Order: sequence, then structure tokens, then C-alpha cells
Amino acid sequence: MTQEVKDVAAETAETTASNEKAMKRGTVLQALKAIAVLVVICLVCGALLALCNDIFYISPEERARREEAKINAALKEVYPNLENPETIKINKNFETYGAYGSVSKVVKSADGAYIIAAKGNGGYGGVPITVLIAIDPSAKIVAWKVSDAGQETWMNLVEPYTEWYVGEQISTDLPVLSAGASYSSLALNNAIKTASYYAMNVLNLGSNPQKDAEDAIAALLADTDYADYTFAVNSDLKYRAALSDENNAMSYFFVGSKEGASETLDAYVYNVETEAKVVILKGNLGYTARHEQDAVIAKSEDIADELVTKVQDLNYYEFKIHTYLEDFRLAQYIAITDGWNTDDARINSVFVGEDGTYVVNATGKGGFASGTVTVNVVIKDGVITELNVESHESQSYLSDHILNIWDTFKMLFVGNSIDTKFDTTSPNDAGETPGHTGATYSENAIIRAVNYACEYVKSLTEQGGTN
Amino acid sequence: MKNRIREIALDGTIRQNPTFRLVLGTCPTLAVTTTAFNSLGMGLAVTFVLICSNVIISLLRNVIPDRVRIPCFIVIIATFVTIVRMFMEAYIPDLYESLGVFLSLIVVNCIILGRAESYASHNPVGYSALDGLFMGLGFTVSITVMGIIRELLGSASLFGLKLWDANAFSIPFFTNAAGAFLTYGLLIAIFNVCYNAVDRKIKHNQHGKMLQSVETQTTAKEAE
Repeated sequence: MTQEVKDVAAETAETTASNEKAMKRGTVLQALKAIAVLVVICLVCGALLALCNDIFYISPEERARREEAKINAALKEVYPNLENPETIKINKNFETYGAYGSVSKVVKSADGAYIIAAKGNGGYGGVPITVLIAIDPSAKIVAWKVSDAGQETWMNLVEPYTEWYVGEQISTDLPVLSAGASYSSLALNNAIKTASYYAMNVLNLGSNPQKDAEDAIAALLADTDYADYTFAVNSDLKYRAALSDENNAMSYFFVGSKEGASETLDAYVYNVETEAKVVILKGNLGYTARHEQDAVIAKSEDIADELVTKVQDLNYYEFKIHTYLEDFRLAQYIAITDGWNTDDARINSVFVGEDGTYVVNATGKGGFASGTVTVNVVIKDGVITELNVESHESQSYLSDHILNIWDTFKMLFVGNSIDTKFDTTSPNDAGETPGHTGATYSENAIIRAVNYACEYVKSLTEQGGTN
Repeated sequence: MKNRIREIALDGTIRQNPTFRLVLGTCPTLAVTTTAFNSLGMGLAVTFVLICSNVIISLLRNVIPDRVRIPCFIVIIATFVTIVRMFMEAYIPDLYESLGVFLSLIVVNCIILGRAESYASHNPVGYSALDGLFMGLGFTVSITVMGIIRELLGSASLFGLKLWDANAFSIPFFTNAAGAFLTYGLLIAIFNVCYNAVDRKIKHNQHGKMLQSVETQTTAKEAE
């Protein structure tokens, strides 16, 4: 019995072992089969796709034709009368219009109209807006359409406002439309300005008084040593108005410069709408030097002597400073030496008057929201005699807390010697120290600017004056 | 057989309508139904892929091992989706541009993989094809209705044809994502309310007939 049981047990063990082996082989086979089936299916599907790729092949020419058709369809939405569209190569010299934007495509219709795709900077979140603008041969804006905004919320506001700018002559001075979306409206305006600038300068559409003025300057300087100077327009309308009279309207004031040259030019253009009259002076000169004979580089033949004297009388920098120092006469503009730009403040410019008055334009940093305040500090005989705020960045509380009490606030500084070191206020102490305003960060930026200006003038006087 | 075909048809279009009853394929439903034309195009594309993939998967149902069935299904579905993409790009470029990335996303549409897994892999080719056809039709009709509503209310047009001045009356809200959700929710509610009402009535009638039949049998027995 015992032997029989042993035999049965041995047989059972053998059977179990062989079953286990068979199971293992079966599992491996199944796995291999699964992989094989998957691979075969992939291969068959791949072959089918390769066949379909040949059947449904689209040639590069067809793709290009479709792309062109898509673009033309978009263009036709803006200008339905578009015929035989011809893409014009962009003139790189006028592709970008300063910080306003750039032109990406220009298409000409058979009837003489143009469609310009212009990108306008300054949209919401810094995202530019691309606009298609249709301009007819008489330089009027026929229609416009936003082609790529990236600002969906604003897109819903655009519909009722599409009549804005339509029918207007192209211009770089068109007003910003008010659509309840300020950033996007500004970007749209910049796009239209950019397209207008390109159309006026390259496509010869509309009048371009600025170009006429630049051409007049170039004509006068053609045979001089300043022929290769480039001129940038100064947009200060108040300055232009100050130099105009009932007979002569000053159209443009340009500042000319050349890379590597220290000398600059001031170019004044009058009456550009009728016939441009131009006076070009050496730049950065004081009052006396501007009246010397060699100060006038060139002038139009028929320009009146009185007009020439008028521009010699008033330099742009003097004009700015005259708003708070009527008797200021510029003696010298001082070039800022290296090292006067720290984390606290920066010296931007220094002018010295004929009577030894210093006017220092300084920027104080570390204001509210890490912004800055730029001030003009007037120093005479080592004493601060005047102080004003020229501009500021992000100082939301400056106007309400400081500028509205400016005449009182500036007296914290005016009358003090340049040896005085004014203390900034800790935000924790704000409101507890007499004379302080509550706009602590803005205040401290002003203080830093004033301290730095005084330090600079002290360094100049210690070095022996203005040199 | 006729009964079975009828059941498949009713399941695909009404009883197991993938859009309003099973709430599958929500992504393309919400995204492409801004216009009726796009909805119809997407629906037909899905129908084609459904039919083809169901047929092939049903044919291979005894060949594909269980452990690799999902990768195999996806390869087959992706192949047909790619074929549809190539066809649309070649012959209907406007629709191809409008559908954009959602055309490729048909691969991961739950309806297709769901029917492959639950029906085609267990049923003969003929019935699987019919299942694909009617499921696809159900999906197509559902999203087309949704597209019609959104386009009419949002853009004052139908299949691209302007019906009235959009500035005079249109509700742009319906062309946005929020409007899509609202429309979808309302249609699901309406569909299910109607379905439940009809279903109850049918069941009530069936119950009545059954009772009548039992009464008749009992009366006959008593008479005997």
C-alpha cells in the first residue's frame, strides 16, 4: 500500500511539474502571439496609410495656392473690391514705425487701393494686435479689420466700433477710439498709425508733411559736412507754438545727430504745408553762442532774419526750464561723467545758466511699485532755489498726496544748502514725522533724486566749475 | 433579424444616444458646434470612423488577443481617423481648417473606443457595422441640432447663410464656451424628459397588454 501511495504521489508530482512547464510555455507563446498580432496590425495600418497618402497627396504648389486663396479671402473681407491682388515687397526702411508697430504685408489691388497688414504694439498684456487696413487711392481709410488680436474679450467690443477711422485721411495723428478697452484701442490706433506712416512714406499716398520737412532739411545740407546726419522729430507742440507767430507757423523741430559725432544739430522747419522754410543751428549751444555767426549751419534763402533770430533766442532746453525759471539763459550743457547711475538715483542732464545757475535733471528710484520720480533741481550759489517734478513712473499716490501740496512740500528742500543730506522716511514712521505726506515711497524717491543732484553739483564745483 | 436591426437602430439613435443619453464625446460636442456645418462635418467623420473601425475590429475579434486589444483598437481607429484627415485636407480644406485639432482628437473619442470594446469585439461584422452606422447617425444628428441652435442664436445664420442682421438680434453668448455648456445641458434635459415620458407610456401600454392577455387566458381556462 505504502509503495502504491508513493507511486501515485510521484506520478502526481510529475504531472503537476509537466503541467506547470506547459503553462509557462503557453504564457510565453501567448505573449509572443499578442506582440506579433499588434506588430502585424501596425504594419498593415501603416501600409494602408502610405497608400492613402499617395491617393490624397497635396502638392506644394496646391498648398501655396490655397494659402494665397485664404489670405485673399481675408483681404476681401476688408476690401470687397479687391481685384488681381499683388503682394508688394516691404521697404525695410519704413517697415517699423518707432515703438508704434510694424508692417508685415502690403497688397495692391488693381484699382490702386492698398491693404496693409500692420501690427500695433501696446495691447492688453503687452500682446500686439494685427490689423488689416484698406486704403483707397485718395488716401482714405476704407475699412479695417482685426486679423489677429489674441484678446478675445475685446473682440466682442470691436463690432460696434468698426466705423471708427473709416472715411478718414491716413494720418499718424488719428485719435484713439474709446471702446472701453483702453489697451486694445491704443494698439489698434498704433496699427493704423503704422500703416499710415508706411503708406505716406513708401506708397506715396496722402500728404506727408514730415517727409516734406525732412526732404527740405536734406536738400539744405546736401553739400555740407552734415549731409549724413539723421534727424529725429521732437513732438513738443508747446515749443513749436512758442516759436511761431501769426505769419510763420513752426511745423517741425528736429534734432540731428550722427553716430560717433559729438556735435548735434537743431533744425527748425516753418510753413511746410505751403513752402518749407528751414533754419539749422548747431545744437547744445548756450544763448550767446547761438547768436554767433557760425552757429547757423544753413537756412532757406527767403527766410526772414527775424525768424532766424527767433530760433536763436530760444533753445529747447531753455524753453523747458523757462516754465519755472523765466530768466534762465543756457551757458553750457554738461555731459554726464560715468558712474552717476546707482540703485538709488541717476543724473540725466545738467544745464548751466549764464549766471551760474545749475539745473539738474535727476531720477530717484525706489518709488511706489518700484517706480521712479524725475525732478529738476535748481541750484544757485550752493543753495537749492527751485524744485519741480518732471515725470514719474507708476506713482499712483504722487498726485493726491504730494503734487496737490507741492508749493508746501518743496519748501522742505528749497533754501537748503547742497551740503544738506535729506533723510528718507521709513514706511513705519509715515504720518508721524512732521512735513511728510503719506506717499512715503514717492517721497523717498524725490529725496534720493534731490540728494544725488546736490552731490553732483558739489562734485562739479569741487572740480573747479563746469568742466 | 429584422428585430435585431430595429433594436440596434433604436439603441444608436435614441435609447443609447451617445450625446444626450450616454454623454460621450463631450469634447467635440462642445467645441465644434459653433456652426451647423462644422457639426455635420464632425458627425459624418465620426460616423465613418465608427463604421470602419467596428467592421475591422469585428473581423479581427477572434484574432486579437485580449491583453493587447486596447492598443490594437487604438491603432485601427487612428488609421481611419488619419484617412479621414487626409481626405478632408485634400477635398474639403475649409472644413479641415475649421475642425482643426478636434479632427485628430476623434481617436480618443469615447464613443468609438467604447463601441469597439463593448460591441464590435463581441458581435458579427454585419451587426457591428450597423451599430457603428446608427451610433454615428445618433451622434451626427445630436451635434448638428446643437450646432443649428448655437449658430442661429449666436450668429444669426444657418450653415453659413445669413438669415437676418446679427446686429439687430443675436446672442454672441451662444458662440462661447459657456453658451455651449448651457445649450448642451438644456438639450440633455429636454431629450431625457421626452425619452422618459415616451418610455413610461410604452411600458404602461405593454403592461396593459400583458394584463389583458393574462385575463384572456384566465377567462379561457375558466370557460373550459
